[in-house]
Parts: sequence; C-alpha cells; structure tokens
Amino acid sequence: MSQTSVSLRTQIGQVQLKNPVMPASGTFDCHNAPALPFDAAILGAIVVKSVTLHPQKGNPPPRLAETPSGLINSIGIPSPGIDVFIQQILPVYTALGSPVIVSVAGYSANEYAELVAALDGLKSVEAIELNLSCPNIRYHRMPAQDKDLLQECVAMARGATAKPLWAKLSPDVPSVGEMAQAAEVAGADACTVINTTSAMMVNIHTLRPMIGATRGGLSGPALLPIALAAVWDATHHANIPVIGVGGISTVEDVVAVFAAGASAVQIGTASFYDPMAMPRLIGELDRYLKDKGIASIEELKAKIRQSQTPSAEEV
Amino acid sequence: MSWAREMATVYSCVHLDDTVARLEIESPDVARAMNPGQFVMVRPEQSSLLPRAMAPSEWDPVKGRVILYIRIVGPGTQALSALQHGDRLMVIGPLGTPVRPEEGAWALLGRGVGITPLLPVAKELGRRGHDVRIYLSARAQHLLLEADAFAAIGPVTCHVDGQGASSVSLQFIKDLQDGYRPRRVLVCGSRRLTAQVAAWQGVYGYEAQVFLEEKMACGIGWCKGCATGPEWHLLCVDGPTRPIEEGLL
Repeated sequence: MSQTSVSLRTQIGQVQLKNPVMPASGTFDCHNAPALPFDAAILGAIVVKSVTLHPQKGNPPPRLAETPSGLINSIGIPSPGIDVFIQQILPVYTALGSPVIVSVAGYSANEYAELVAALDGLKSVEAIELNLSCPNIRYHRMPAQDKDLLQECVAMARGATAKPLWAKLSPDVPSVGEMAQAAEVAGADACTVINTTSAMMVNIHTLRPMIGATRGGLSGPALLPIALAAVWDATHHANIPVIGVGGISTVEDVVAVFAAGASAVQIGTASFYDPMAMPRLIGELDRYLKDKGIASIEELKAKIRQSQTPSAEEV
Repeated sequence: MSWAREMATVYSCVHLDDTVARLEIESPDVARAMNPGQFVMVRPEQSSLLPRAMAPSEWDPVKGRVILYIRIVGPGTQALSALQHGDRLMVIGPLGTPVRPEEGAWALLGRGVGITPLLPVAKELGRRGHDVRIYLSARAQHLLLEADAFAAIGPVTCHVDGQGASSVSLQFIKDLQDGYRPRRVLVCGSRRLTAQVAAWQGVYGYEAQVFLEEKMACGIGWCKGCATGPEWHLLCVDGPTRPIEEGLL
C-alpha cells in the first residue's frame, strides 16, 4: 500500500530537522564557491567545514588521489580561524534557511572548549560537531583514537556550552562502539560515525605517494560497509543518536545506514560524483517511503526495530 | 554566478590518434552560459569514477553544443574517449573565473591539447578588435588543433617537434627582440613554455597568465582539493588561469 504523503522530519536529541539528509563536514561550501543551483533550505541541516581556533592553510598539494572505489583526501582543514568564521562566514550559512551545525577541530581539549565557548552564545548555531577524528592534521594524538583524550575533549566542550554536541568518530579504532560509549559518558548528545579511514596511494611511475602529505583519508563507496559496521557498533554500545556517514550515494544506502541504527545521514563524496546528490536523495527517500507505505522516518525506524527483533520461533 | 548540472548527450567522439579525442556533446544549459577561460566537469553516466575537469575549445549557445578535446592519460579520460553517439554524460558548468578580455595586444601560446582552451579566448579578443598573435606547438602536425580557426583571428606561428630548429617559444622571444610588445600573454599546456614566458616577463613588461591543472574532485569549491599557488587559492574558483609564476611551483 503506497502512502500519499510522508514526513521526513527527524529528531537527533534536541535537534529537529525537516529531513535526515545533510552534508558531511568539508564536502559542501557556500562562501568560497559559486552560487548553488538548488535551494539549500531543502537540506535537513548544513554542516560546515571544520573550523580551527587559529587560521591555518591546510596541507600541501596534491591533496587528492582517486582510488578504484573512492577518494583519498588530505586537505588538512584550511580554516580562517574561529573569529573570522563567526564574523564573516557563519552569516552566509545562517542566511540559507537550514539549521547550521558548526564543526570544530581542536589540537587539545582546551582548544575544543575555547572553540565551543566562542559558538555558545550564537543563536544561529543549532549544534556543534566535534571533529575528533580528522586523519589529516598533525595531532600529538587523535582524540578519537584515545579514549581518555576523547573524553577529556568532549567533557571540556560539554562544560563550555549547553548546545547539542555531536562527537565525530574515527573508524580506525578497535571498537567504534566503545568510543561512542565514551563520548556519551563524557557528555556528547550524538555521535557522527564515521570519518574517513587512513589510506595511501602510490604513483607507480614516480614510485612516490600520490598525496603531498603521504597519506590521507579514504572516503566514497569503499567506506559504506565500514560505516555500516561502525554505526551498528556505536548504536549497540551507546544510547545516544548516531548520524551515519561514509560512502552513502543511493537511497538504498540511506536505508541501509538507518537499518544499522542511524537517525540521520551525512553525504560527502557522493556530492563530488554528483553535486545534486543531496537534493536527489531527499526526493528519493520521500518516494521510497511512499512506495513502501511508510508514513514517517519514525515509522521507518520502528519498522527496522521490528525487523531486527527475533520472532518467537527464532527465540 | 551559478553552475548547471545536466545530463548531456554525445553527438560525436572522434579519435585523432591513440592519445587525443574530440568529443562533441549536446549540453544546452552549459553552452548558453559558458565564457572564455571557464571549464566544465564531465563524467560518463555509467562511470564509477569522479568527473574530470575540461576546458572546452568551442560552444554554440544556439545549437547547445560543446566541444572538448581529451588527452587520454588515465581511466577517467579513457572512459570519456570511449563514448559514442547517443551516450549520456553528466556535465557540470560553467565553472571557474572567466579570462578578462582586457585592452591591449595579446599573445597566446599553447601546446598539444593545451592549445584548445585558448581558442575561445582568441575568439573573444578578436571579436573585441584586440591585436592577437598565436603560437602553437605540438608533437605532430595533426595535433596543431584548430590551427585554422586561430588563423582566422590573428597571425599564427606553428611548430611541430622535429621540424625545423625554432620552437614557438624561441620564435616568440625572437619576435619580442624584434620589437613585438604584447601587453598580455596567456600560456596553456606546457611547463617549458610557461617558464620561457615567465623568464622574459621582467624584460618586456607584459602581464602573463597560465591555464593550470590540478586534481579536483568537484570543480565547484566544495572539496578544497585543487589548492594552488603561494596562498593556495582554489583553482576551481579562482582559476583555472592564474598568474604565470604559479605555473612554476
């Protein structure tokens, strides 16, 4: 039985979204890019590229290497610094009409606290995503790979704001679930699962790494099964919502990530293959739910829970 | 300025040899909006690869056609060169910052497939009545691409590898020494040409720019992959033409 109208409304803790589709941080831009040919207000939210406390230029080129099933990047978070971001860039995103999620990247727990404190009083910031897992910046330690440091960063950020905090995790750990649980204990309201995975390509003609910084983070189709396992792991360890990200390019991928336990999805490299991927996926998700006779995202999640509950015969 | 993303149809794909193909596509939205110096991102409909950046040699806003010369160097350009009449491909464009057709005499220097993005610039300069000289270089006669079209705009100096002693860069320098004074120079397709033009810039005082290439995943400023120059400008937004010194980095 098909549904004539559906609701894509999505809840991530206290954050209400008109639909569950948003860009992954660093894969969508409206301030240093030509104008969009679609209305960004249709997006569930806009997650901005990570901003650092101080200005930085990012990593040296070449920054990209295509693989048979994805893309390795080592962009290294070029950032104007939080002050310029707030004054000059944030208003551009606020004007677009979708909730704005600001991603921040610090080099210490104190920096995360400073970044979050700078955003705390701004009504235009709906939530803050803590990028704890960029494989392309020179941490002493990556917070998402060190449970104690992760908890310190999240706890310091928690102490600096009442805004919703999303902790973005790395796949490059023994258990994403344990890290999600650690983030929850330290005060995260949600987890974004996953960032890119550390990777390298070699130019067989020069015999040198194809990326200027030697290695980078792999994204794209290769990441989807890794993301599914990580989202499943996170949702089975932590009791906070999970935003799924990694290799999502079709509506079937969106539904699969929901089936793994996600409450929303972020789209990254798919927007490089097709810059209309996000508007397309929102339309396809609406059509998918109609065709399946599912009235809402909540009903989809209930159906998933029902499908994954063992029947009496199975028990 | 905004970009369009449209599903285009291949009108023809002709191989000039194993390394170069001429692709003519029906892409009306892009053809209507292109300006000289801009580029497009293209990807076959069924491809699992990222789109590739290409600067068209020609477009017709009335017929809705765009012509791209493809240098076949890897799987992405191989897939594009394998397209046939009626095949579909995604086109995103127009992208980048157009070349400003400022007053004064212009010299355009191109090599190989790098000749072709210069043609729209030459046409625009010619249309405005600017003095234009063109210097074209290739490894074979049949790769002096669109030489006849350039000849309709201004004097063309051609050089094919192994034929004669004087390269186009040497001829350009000789012309400078003989009193030729271009106000602006634009280079595409050769690091050696770029270096020569840059080396003589201080002596003859022209403004010089170069069409640059850098790996880009999106072409629209989202991926930040195509950083270039001392300030790491994004080539897709602030290029693809950049000050000549950035072509030497």
